[in-house]
Amino acid sequence: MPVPPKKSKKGPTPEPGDEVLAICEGREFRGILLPPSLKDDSFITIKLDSGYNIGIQKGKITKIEVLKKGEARLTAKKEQSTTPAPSSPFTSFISCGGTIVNKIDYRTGAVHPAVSPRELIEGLPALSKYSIRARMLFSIASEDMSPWHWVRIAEAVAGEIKDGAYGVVLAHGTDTMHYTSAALSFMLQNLPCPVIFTGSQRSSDRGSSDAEANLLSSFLAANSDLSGVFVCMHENTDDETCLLHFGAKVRKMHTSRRDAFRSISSLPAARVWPFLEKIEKVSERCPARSPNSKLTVDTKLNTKVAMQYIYPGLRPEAFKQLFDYDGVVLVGFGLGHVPVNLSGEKNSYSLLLQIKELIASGIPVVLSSQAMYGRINLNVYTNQRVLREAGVIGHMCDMTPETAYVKLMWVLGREKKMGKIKELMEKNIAGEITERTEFSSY
Amino acid sequence: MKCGLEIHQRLASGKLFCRCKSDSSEEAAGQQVSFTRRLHVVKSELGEVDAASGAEAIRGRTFRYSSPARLVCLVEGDEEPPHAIDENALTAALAICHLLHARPVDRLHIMRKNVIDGSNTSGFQRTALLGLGGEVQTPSGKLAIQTICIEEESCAILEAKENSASYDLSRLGIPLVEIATAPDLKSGKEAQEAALAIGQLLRKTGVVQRGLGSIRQDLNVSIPGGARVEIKGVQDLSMIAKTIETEARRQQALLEIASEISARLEGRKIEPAIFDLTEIFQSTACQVLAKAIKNKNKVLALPLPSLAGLLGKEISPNRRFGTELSDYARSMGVSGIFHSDEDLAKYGFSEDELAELKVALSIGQKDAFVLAAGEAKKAQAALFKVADRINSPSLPGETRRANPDGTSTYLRPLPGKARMYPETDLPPVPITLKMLEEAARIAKKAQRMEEEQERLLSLLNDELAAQLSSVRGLVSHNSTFQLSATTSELSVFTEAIKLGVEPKFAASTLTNTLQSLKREGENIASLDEPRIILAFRACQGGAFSKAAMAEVLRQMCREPSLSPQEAAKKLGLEKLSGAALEEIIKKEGHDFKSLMAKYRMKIDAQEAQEIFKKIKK
Repeated sequence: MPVPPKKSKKGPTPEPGDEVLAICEGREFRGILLPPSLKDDSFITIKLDSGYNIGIQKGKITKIEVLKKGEARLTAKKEQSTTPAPSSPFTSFISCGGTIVNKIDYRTGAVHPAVSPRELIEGLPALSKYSIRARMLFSIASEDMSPWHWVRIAEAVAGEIKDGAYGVVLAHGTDTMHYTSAALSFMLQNLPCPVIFTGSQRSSDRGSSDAEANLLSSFLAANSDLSGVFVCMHENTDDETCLLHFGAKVRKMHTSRRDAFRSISSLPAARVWPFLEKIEKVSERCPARSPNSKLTVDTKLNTKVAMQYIYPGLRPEAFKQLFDYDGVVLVGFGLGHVPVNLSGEKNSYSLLLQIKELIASGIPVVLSSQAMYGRINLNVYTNQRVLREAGVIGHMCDMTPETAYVKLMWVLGREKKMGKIKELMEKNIAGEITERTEFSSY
Repeated sequence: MKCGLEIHQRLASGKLFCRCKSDSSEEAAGQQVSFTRRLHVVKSELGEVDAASGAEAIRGRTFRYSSPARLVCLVEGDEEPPHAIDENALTAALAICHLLHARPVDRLHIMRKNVIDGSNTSGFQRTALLGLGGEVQTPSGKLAIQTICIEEESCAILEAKENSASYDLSRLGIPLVEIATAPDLKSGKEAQEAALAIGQLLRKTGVVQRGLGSIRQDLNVSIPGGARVEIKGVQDLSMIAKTIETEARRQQALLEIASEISARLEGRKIEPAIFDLTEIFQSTACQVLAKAIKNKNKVLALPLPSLAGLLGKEISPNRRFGTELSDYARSMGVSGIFHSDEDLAKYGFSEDELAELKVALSIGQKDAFVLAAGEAKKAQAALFKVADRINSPSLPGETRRANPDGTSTYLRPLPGKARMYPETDLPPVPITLKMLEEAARIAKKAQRMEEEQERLLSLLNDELAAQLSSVRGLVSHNSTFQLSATTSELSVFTEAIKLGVEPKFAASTLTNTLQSLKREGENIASLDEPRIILAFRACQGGAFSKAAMAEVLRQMCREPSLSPQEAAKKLGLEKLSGAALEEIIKKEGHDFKSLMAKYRMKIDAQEAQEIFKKIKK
């Protein structure tokens, strides 16, 4: 740990956590020395007895002495806890990290993803009625999740269900939760019970955290008569209801609001009232719990899939690197447009040639839309028909770009033939493609 | 007795951690935002639950927030991380540090102070320690300042119920400066004078909000052997002395009761043995109990052996020890308690019920009891709290709310250290030389302005001068003060004098006229400083007479788009003078009195009199 420069000649070197007395321009400051707020910090930070932190310029300090050595408690313990399976039917709680399990270190102000799942559950008396088996699988922020983690999560969930879990709740960072929920939707089929992803947009250390309502709702959902993979988060800015979204039909649509998650081109599966302990189906497509269902676990992925955002002015050269992949998802415009420049406008670029070459070299190209809501339809404009003729995949699909990306990895994990890949990509497998879009789904 | 003050003064800048306005005067109409939230208790790193937060959490309430949409954004709604601290607010607070001779910190660390009574959507208040030390001159000498903090205002409570509360969200985030004095004040009078001195000094800066609620005083009071009690929200300066004296007497009375309890119990404690008496009251005439039973709730009782008579002992005017215990019970979510030192027949208790109750609790003449009705869990918690309080050997340090009559009501335990942790969404803010220079400039200007004001006020009679100095800025308290304002920074009064307006007329317009317009329900907030100055200028330039000033200003309130000239024209009050006036006097002016009665608002009496005299000659 870096140490303030002007330390007292006698006595131990002040270290973060120590109770210190700093003298600065004739004034005494007594409190706990905190770790530096920034790298190469030219200030020291002291937590005063009143609880306030203050910053003092190192250059102004004439003397700093240790009054009492700290108890080296400035980093939160990392606790890997697994609780034994209760003898009665239990709900499994798997923590994968994220804001919901973030914990503030009250002495330093640093945030650690280090709350043990047990600790989290104990903080919520309303969960005491469930028998819960909790385990910590990962403790990472969701932006650091990769397809490798999806596979581990799917295996862990499958293990819990094999052990007799009545339902599974997963704590996960929100940023990429919809990728993981989509991945599990494909990897775990014929689920006998609900698998619920949840998280929070406000960390659990604050009184206003959305974690309580989200967790209560998730446990209600995990013990409901549904089955399948869902995301369970706030319905709106109130703390009164949460929505269950289909795992492959959901997306984070706001950077910070608690109701950031929205069902895309689909009604949500169900609505949950966490404090009234009530759950109601919203969508007809919601599958029922089927205890006799035999879970299929198929976690094989080909992760060599790229996602390319299409934007005005995108140059064909940008496609060069796509030839290194086994599959490409294009995030195009509107109904499924990509610049093809059929009119030969001299100031425009065309990507048609590159797309044709990709397909010709055996790399499937799947089209999704930046519009996010709605269906791809490649019949409407001539510009699109050429894409369809070129063999672009995705006609009549209403998958989000993220779901299309995850699905392509999963499909490429088991199919090599272009025709078969196209067939699987355009066929509904895990609720990711609907045949009819209801008015109220937007 | 020891007493310290905590003064909370709103700053006249935008909100502290978002870019919403702090000014709500004209924005009430339009689209509304509202939502419902819950807050839960959080543990500190050491696994501790802060006493104040814990006490709130037991109540498990829902909170309804609402505001005009234009006054709040996602930040107030706890739906977006805070933006950087408002620079104007920070500079203003630094200027206040300067005037109070406090030493600013080198770097500001914004903290979160857990508050889960719903008054903050986040569950905490953002606060930062800005200045240390300092002093203020008061009539009884120099008073030491301990700390100066900059923090965000909470939501205003609209309605509090047992299981819910509603709040006005628009107030959340307005910047506040909190000035804490040393606990060196020795009497209520001293404290009141000190509060006045600090308040006046703050106003001089020109960077603070004015008007109702813009300044609040919290009091810290303790007597020897007593406890530190924080009394929050004394809004009326003149109530400070009384509130402090009442609190000192309350602590004295409680000390006496404590020693009486310990004498009677001979060192024993009250057993928290709770009895369920719901059966006894199945057909009671007591409305509170009947309602509880109808709602399938419980009537629970706690016997208090040997304590007969103590609960009826008065500790403050109209407040007994029983009232005090009832406050504690209420904090657990019941509507109150009944106790044996009250006339229970008055509440509809029958003699049979009371007899049965005494048997059930096996209590006699010397014993007392307390009764609570409500959800079993809450009623039980309420009675445990009562037992705890009686068993407490010393007075509890606590936070209380000031009542308008000088008494106070229990709010929650004093918050502890576990309540504060860093705001992780904001990096620390170094206090730069540039900020300090700007603060010094504002402070200097405040001093200059004061000297100038005093010189001008000396032109008026004492009464008007006193009035003017007390309402100075009456009209500007709602306008957002821009620290970067480049134009004249002197008050409207000074400006008017510069225009040649007669000081007395200027003063009475700014005091009497504006106050009566406000009293009559006119929206004087729309009369900002530049518009009032325009009115003075127009009047001075002969657009309308001094007598018409009030009506012109009234019209300008009603139609903020009108210029003073247009307002006078619309009212038909354009000034008649010179040839036009002479014409009228020649035509109608047989009698000066009736002429004035008819044209009072349109002509200048002095000018008319001169013409009148000239013609008569």
